[in-house]
Amino acid sequence: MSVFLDIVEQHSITDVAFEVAIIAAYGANDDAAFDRAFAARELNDQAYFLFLFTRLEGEIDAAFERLVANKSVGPWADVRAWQVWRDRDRVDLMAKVELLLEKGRRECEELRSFHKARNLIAHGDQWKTKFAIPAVAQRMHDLVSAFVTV
Amino acid sequence: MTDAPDDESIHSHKFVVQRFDGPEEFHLDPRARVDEWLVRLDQLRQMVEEWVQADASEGFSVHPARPVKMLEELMIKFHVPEAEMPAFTVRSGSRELAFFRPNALWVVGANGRVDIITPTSAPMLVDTSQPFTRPVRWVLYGGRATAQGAMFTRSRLVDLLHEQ
Repeated sequence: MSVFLDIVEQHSITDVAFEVAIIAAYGANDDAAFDRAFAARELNDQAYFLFLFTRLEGEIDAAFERLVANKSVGPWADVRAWQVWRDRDRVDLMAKVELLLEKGRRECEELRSFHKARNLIAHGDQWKTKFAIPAVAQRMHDLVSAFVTV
Repeated sequence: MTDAPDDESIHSHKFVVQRFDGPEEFHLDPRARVDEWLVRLDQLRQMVEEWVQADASEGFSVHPARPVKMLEELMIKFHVPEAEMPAFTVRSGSRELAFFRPNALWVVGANGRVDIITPTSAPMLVDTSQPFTRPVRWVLYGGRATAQGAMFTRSRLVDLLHEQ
């Protein structure tokens, strides 16, 4: 298991509450209650997406530190470009991603879209795009496994 | 009968794919993506219909339901007209066992999502394939499926229907 799949287990437990409300509204043929239950489920998905993203950021930071440490061993002439990154407090998240995954590849673009989604929610946009939280968690798990740190 | 539409089905449609600079979801023409999504939804219904008709002794049947309005953020931004997503139910006699309700095309983590509402659960189907690629990969999440998801197959559908 990974932290992402642990979180999605937790999400599935909370999702049951919305599932129950959706089933009840559908059974009662109550369109308004049905829409409310789906809207509530989507808010829960947004919250879990942010939770997942915090773990993703942590994994990116840790992998980036490993990469810089691995690349900073050797004669100064060989490692000086990498040493610039050491102990820097503020490195853009996507710059780290582009050093861990080949820029332009699908995996890198997927992480960029997750980052964009996180920013839209975190900055309070009226954002209506939906989530498939279990699929997001699985992709985050797979993407982190694909980081190249050597 | 197949578990998913074959590779050729994608080639029978003349999609106009345009390239945009910017985030990934802008790379493909939203109008073409909507058209292709509606094709996939039709193919999903056909696939479920084939599956339930494969064994008449089960007594399952597929029926059209009220379509779901589709007007997503990118459609508004790129002036793509509102569309209707086809919905359907699976019944056993007159008893409704599952309502397949398309949710959205632009979904973070998926290439489209369809919610399923049954009398006891509300799982979702998500297409985990990349846009404009085949085969479509419908994965079932939630309900009694595992949190990690399971490929949507005939046996998975029949299990879901028998749980009702």
